[in-house]
Amino acid sequence: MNESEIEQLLRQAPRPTPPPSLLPGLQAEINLPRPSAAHPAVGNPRPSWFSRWMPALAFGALFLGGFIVLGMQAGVLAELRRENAELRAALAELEPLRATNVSYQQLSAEVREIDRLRADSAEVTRLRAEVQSLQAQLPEITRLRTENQKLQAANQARAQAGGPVGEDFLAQAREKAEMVRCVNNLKQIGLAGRIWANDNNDTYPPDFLSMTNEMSTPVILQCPADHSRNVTNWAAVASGNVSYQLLAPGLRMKDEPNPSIVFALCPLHHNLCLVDGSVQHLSAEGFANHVKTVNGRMVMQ
Amino acid sequence: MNEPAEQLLARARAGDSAAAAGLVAQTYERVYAFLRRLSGHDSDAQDLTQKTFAKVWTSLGSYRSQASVSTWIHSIAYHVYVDWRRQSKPADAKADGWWENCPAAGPSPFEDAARRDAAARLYALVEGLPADARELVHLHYYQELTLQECAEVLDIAVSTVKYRLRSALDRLQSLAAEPRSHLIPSKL
Repeated sequence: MNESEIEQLLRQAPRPTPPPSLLPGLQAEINLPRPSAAHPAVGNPRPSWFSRWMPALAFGALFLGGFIVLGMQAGVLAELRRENAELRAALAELEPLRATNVSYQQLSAEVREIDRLRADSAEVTRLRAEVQSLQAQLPEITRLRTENQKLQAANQARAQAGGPVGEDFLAQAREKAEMVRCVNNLKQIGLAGRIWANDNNDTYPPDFLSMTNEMSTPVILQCPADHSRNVTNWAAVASGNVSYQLLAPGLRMKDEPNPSIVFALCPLHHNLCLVDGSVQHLSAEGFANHVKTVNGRMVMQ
Repeated sequence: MNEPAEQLLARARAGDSAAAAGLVAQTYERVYAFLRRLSGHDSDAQDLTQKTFAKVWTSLGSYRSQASVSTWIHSIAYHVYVDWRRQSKPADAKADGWWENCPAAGPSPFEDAARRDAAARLYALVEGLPADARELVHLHYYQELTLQECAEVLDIAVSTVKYRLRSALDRLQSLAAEPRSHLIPSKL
């Protein structure tokens, strides 16, 4: 059986016959929906105006767009041509401008050279004026030199005669300053001792370390003339490495109400800090004459 | 002279019951035959035909004039059949020998008998084809729809219709050449 025979047999296939009762049943069951305006009549629904003219409108829009683009490009082209012509005209004027620029550069370099020469000339003038000024001062220098030689000779003669020389003045001033600072240290020590006594039932401290809270710094326990020590912290005080001597440790003012008792002493300057807080400076001779030991206490008389 | 189905449908959409009755009378035999061959039973075919036309009346608003009324109704019938097959899942999906119950026709008794025998074998082979190929043979050869109409009913491309028909014919030709004992799938 070939293909055409198969197709022929298939097309001639018998058709099943519906039962006679089917048609009346189908027709009886017809239930048509209520017609509405939302469903237009079947057949040839008229397309909208936009749908019908859509191809023409699209072509027109495309053509118009292309025309607009061409117009814009033509405008841009004309502008470019105009700019090109202006640039060509400017190019013709460029050579004279270049020549002018070269000459300007040369003139500018010459002007800079002239300015530099002017500055050099002003410097030379200033130096000349300075030389003249120095030359004017030369006789004065000679006079001062002569006077200096005279003073040196006089100083040398004074030294040979046993008088003070210039360097002794400085040493004396330094010693005096150290003595004043020593007095100041003793005043602070005396004040600290009195404060400590007020807080401890009028009894003076047994040592310097006991009144560390009353002293602002341990440096005051070093005499400025005492270069053998370096009291910079309380550890040095604890080890007893101080310049001053505490001569009235544990003194009770109620028992010994003598204000001339020496509280602290600087053995270098013979400065005395009494228990009343005053500080007295004595010479070596005065110290030997006026300071005595009474009842185990050093007293200034 | 019969009124065109498109005009009957348009009148039915407008609420004309007479037009709807005319449309039923014009199309119900083809619909019934289509569903009878697919379902394999008279009672199922009647039920499916009734469901098909019930859906036609409720879907009148969805009809567009791009397809013919016949194609549209066949599409509805096909979908009704597919829904029925999915829901009822009949135990015996194979159709009976519907061709044996149809009246014979032919020029001579001898030729008629031989041709009738060959046709019966061929129709049985058709029922043994896969579902998509079988439904396509029904639509194109039995229901006499064009390839384009078949594609619209099954909602597939025309090229796919052509391919499936070609495959079905090749398959039928090869099966027809085999010994007779293997030719009737309903008896396998």
